[in-house]
Amino acid sequence: MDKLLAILADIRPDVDFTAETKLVTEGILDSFDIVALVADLNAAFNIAIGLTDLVPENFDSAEAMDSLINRKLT
Amino acid sequence: MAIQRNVLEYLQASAGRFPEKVAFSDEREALSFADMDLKARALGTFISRATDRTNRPVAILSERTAGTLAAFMGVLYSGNYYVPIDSSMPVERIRNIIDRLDPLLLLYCEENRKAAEALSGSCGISSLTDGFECAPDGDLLARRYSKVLDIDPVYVIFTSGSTGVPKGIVIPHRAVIDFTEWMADTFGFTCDDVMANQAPFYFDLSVKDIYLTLKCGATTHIIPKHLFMFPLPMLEFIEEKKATSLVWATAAFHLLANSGGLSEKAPASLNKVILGGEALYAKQLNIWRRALPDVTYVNLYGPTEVTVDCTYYIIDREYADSEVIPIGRACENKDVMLLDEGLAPVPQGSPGEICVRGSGLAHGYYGDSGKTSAAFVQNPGNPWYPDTIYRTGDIGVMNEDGLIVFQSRRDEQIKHMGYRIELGEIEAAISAISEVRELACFYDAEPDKIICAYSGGISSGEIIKRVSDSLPKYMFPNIFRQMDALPRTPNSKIDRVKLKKDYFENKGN
Repeated sequence: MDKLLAILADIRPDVDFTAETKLVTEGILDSFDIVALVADLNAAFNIAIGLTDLVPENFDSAEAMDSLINRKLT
Repeated sequence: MAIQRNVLEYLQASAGRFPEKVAFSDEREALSFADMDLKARALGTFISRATDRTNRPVAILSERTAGTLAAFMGVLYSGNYYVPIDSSMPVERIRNIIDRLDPLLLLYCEENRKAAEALSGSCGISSLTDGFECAPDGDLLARRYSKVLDIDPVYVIFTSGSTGVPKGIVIPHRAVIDFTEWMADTFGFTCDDVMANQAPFYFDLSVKDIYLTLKCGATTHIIPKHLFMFPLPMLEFIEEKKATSLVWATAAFHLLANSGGLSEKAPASLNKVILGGEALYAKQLNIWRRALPDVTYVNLYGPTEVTVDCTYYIIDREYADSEVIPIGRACENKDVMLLDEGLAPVPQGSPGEICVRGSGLAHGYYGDSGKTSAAFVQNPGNPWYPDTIYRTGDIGVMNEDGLIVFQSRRDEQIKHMGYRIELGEIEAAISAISEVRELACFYDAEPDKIICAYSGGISSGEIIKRVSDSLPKYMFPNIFRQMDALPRTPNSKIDRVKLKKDYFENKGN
């Protein structure tokens, strides 16, 4: 989770990722952020976020992203 | 019946024919044609009481909402014209536009209250919530909008200028009516059509969704912004709304093809996909055609100055991934010419600047007679009376089938190692490589290098290997920059200005 939060802070230092739960559905993250984030997560965790993982629910909060990463790791 | 002279007549006719039918929907609300007309009359009355003036601009902080479109119509009811402003731009850039526009009012919805208040020093501001609550006064409105002639402006759209100062392009009612009638006829739009809107309303590509819906009594569902990052949910949205038509920016069409989503979920309700805004690539078109073979695909071309588009090509044959797709032939009531630097017609098969004549031409650039007279010039074939052509700055060539093929910008033709090269040709070749997702080529005269920025899982060496059978050696890019994603403008075109700027700033390092 700490590694994820560090990556997120790198992309958007202005957002409190521990508090927000509607990052995508309320438009806090835009499409450029998501594109950069997916590339960074794939590289940092050596995972492959695929087409079916690209749904708003997986990116609406840091917690949701964390569980996506864990699912891809196993 | 008298000829139509105001686009409001589309709304009024559809509100009469289909009062209860949904015209525009967004995430929060769906407005019927009767709702649209009522809200527009309310706002028109509100503006008419706030100012006596007509035929002047009213700015609107634009959102992806049905209410934004009702606001456009409200401004027209007051006898004025609307200027959509991208609310996500930096406030300073908006202020720059507002200061030069000097609008009667700036209208905003609640989520933009802060941005609007920051601009209140530059012009009067009003909340749309207040405007929509006003009781409509039909007599007052009729006195206002009946003064408007078909040559008066309907909207002004600002685009970025090459020098960095935005240019306001002034479009009259006649031009929008001319274009909408052609488009509805040519592609057979009816009240059974359902559009899934992609283009933001401060971008003139959206004029197609807006006025086809109002003219035909069709329905447009505005795609929620956040879905653009998520291919499968976006395709689900299109399917769930039973959309028949996508009238989209080519960039968004390419991205969806590249996502791989179409092979999972291809919306079966679609029958027309109409593209414009940048070069259409055969590789991405073929991905769509494999998923949805029965859809009619159309490639449109035109700068905002000619009112949305001036040429069209209905894709009528197979294209290999590396082939260039034509932009086609002139839309009805537009004359499209290929002229040389002295504005004389070029010989058949030679490249020339695409120049346009017709009722669709903009009046020019708002408050900028210098830029206007540079781009809107006298028809060189007519020395007898005023007859304006617009010089697009784009270079095209007529192929053997009589179809125009876009080559490049006038200013993107390069001389490299003594050869005359069009960067568009290099781009078309590299774009045919399946691993390349997006790319842009540009030129550095000092020391004579072609730079290719691209995204996708492929090395530069491999790219060179693959294009070596379609490009002569002197056309190979000399420098490759592999990126996660290429920067995009607010209109989702590849941001070439930023790409070049980043390259030149970091060149020495």
